[in-house]
Amino acid sequence: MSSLFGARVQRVEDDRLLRGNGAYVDDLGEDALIAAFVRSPHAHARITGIDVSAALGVDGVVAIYTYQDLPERLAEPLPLLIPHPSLTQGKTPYPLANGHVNHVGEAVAMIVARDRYVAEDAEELIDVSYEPLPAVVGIENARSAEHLVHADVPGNLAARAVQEHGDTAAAIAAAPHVLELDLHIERSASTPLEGRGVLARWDVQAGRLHMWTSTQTSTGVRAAVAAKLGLDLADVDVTTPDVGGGFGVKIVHPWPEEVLVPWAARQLGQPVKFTEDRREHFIASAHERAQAHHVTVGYDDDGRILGLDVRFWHDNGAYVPYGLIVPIVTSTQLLGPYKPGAYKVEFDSLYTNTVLVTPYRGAGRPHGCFVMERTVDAIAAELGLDRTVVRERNFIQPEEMPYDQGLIFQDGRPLIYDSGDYPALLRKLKDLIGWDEFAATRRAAAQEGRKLGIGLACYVEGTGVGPYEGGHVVVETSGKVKVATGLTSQGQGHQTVLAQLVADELGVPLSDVEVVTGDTRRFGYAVGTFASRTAVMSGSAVTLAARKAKQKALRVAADALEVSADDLVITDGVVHVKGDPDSGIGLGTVAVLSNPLRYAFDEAAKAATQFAGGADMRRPPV
Amino acid sequence: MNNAEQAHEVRLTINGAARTAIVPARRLLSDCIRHDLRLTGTHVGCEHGVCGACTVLLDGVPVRSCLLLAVSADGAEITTVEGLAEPDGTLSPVQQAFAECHGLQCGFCTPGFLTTITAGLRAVPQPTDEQAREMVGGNLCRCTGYQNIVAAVHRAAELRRERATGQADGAPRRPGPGGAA
Repeated sequence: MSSLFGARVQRVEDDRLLRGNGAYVDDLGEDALIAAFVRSPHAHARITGIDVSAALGVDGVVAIYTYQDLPERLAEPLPLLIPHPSLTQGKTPYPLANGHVNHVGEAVAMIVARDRYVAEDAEELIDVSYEPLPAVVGIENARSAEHLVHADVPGNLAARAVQEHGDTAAAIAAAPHVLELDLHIERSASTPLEGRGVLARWDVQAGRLHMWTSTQTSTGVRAAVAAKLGLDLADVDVTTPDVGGGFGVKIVHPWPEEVLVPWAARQLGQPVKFTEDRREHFIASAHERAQAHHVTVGYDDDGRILGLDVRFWHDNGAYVPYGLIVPIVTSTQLLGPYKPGAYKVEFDSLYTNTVLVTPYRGAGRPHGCFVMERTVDAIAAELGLDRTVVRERNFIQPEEMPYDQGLIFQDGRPLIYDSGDYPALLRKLKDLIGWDEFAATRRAAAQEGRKLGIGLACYVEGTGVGPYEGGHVVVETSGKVKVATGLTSQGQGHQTVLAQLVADELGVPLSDVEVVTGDTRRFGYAVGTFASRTAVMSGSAVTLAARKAKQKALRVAADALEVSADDLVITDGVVHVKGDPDSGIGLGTVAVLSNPLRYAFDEAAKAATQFAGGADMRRPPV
Repeated sequence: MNNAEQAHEVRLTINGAARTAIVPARRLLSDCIRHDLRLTGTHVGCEHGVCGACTVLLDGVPVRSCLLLAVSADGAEITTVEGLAEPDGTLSPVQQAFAECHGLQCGFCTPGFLTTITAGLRAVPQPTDEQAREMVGGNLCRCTGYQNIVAAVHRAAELRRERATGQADGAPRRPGPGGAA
């Protein structure tokens, strides 16, 4: 059987997405009430009063909530998801502002109404009195700390962390050459084309919650919402339907809306939905990546880096619910394929009066790569050396693998590279892009009036991070294979890729495998989708689960066929003796045999009855 | 403000079917299509005419449904993504081309691209690369980048020609994986 692993197949997701049959959160819940939010127009202000009386009179308004209405657990700040020893001043937002707003877009009041139009009518009538405070915007202002974002956080400093491998100061002091560089990377917005969205249904009779949310971690949302609403995990289902892009912003959880919407649905006994609009996304959903870096590098006449000191400042916005992941990733991934004689990195994570900053498309890696590659290019320029030569001279060599960078990575484990042949990669790259012939290429282009330039960058990425994912594989009596894994999908094609793995492992056609992701009803334990981890983590999990299912199928079929399981194989969904494809039984029938009901409810079950009893009448049939 | 809003009857022919919606004057066409008529394939990405996700064909012309009031479309013939496939359920050339060229990932922007290109190829059946890029210049995709989408424009043009001449390379026409609608 030809392998589907790595084969080019058409995505199973595409047919429904191309026909307009996708199901994103806002496509669901046509009977739901709609939640909308009053958001702060100030970057920093004290709230001196909120008057909702006029808004309550709007026809179609069902409820309006402010901080004062929130019960005990919801009145606490949202969780700090990823604590870190150096994060000594970790601030997280309240679901609705508690007396202060710390960025434009911070939620102040929630309106629940018949539709969004009515909710926005009411929003205009809610009178919030603000006493504006000086706003801290930008890394320079955060560092100077003339004004504070949080009155009890001196220097606007959320965290300061240092890692060092070797004696960097001594290495730089002894180096024949020293360069200093200031490198900045800009701030921007995450902007998946579908904003955030939450739909919640409270089942009054069962006392259970079902919510649909546009997230990168349905299990994370489930745990957080259960904790905030005082529910047992077993009474909360979270489904992640089609998601219109995640890019990191949707790994943050729970967003204020993700706890307020289900709470309101329970309060009101009616489904409630929130759909973020684009304006809200720009001001109320996480931004990404503003950092300033100061590099001091000492190197020898050949361009070898003897000591590298990187000091940088990370703008984390007004809150740090997702901890220090971005600056930690920058500080540890910065070295890429290189091995400086000594390396010291120190960062400050700083509060500003702007919406919070999260991991986003690279999550700190682009920053580190940018800093390192600019530094290597600067060394080459100073020494008049080819840029690839300086890179080669600083590479970790293949025979040095596995290589310990002497740092602790974002997952709390040592940063050890398992393998790699960077010199070979660079040679291949140079050949592919014609690096050595570029001078001639440029001259030829110049004669045609075209100005050509060339650049390159090297990069090592830590992906597939743990700690785990799980997989569940069930063969239906129809012979169809149902696969579930807990992490979510935002367009990566998991339904296709995971099905390829399971189809290969089980020996069934790809079209017989159906994969469900991000639904806690189908798989309750998962971490989430980020850092290119699905193929490694869930891919491995479903493969192992399919392998176990196959072993069981072979054992059951062996009993039924009265042969050794070692003599059986599965081809196109049929278990048969090797070399005798006509001798077999379908996987659907095997599924019946593994759970004998004694009733011939369909063809597969009817076929299964012929095996009932087996050889030994003292034993159950299977 | 406290009085119930005046409602208006809007008659549309949408994907070939006559439909009526009772909506307030301020109801956006995008909201009317999605929430009143329950055709949720049309997506809203920005609500100010920038991203193109909500594009539908109004009397054959691509328009941003988030920039039109439903009442202003009264009497119009509208095609949404749900109306692009052939009557027998076969994916349209543009839909088929997106599947073949991996022109989508999360699928949220896709309906707007499909409707835009469907109209674009009617006007320019054999686009140059520059024309193909111009055709999708008003639509945003955040997942894939645009290379495969531009490739899909060219492939769709090819499929249209093949279907117009009956059969391609003597190969029989294959129904889409979804079968009959």
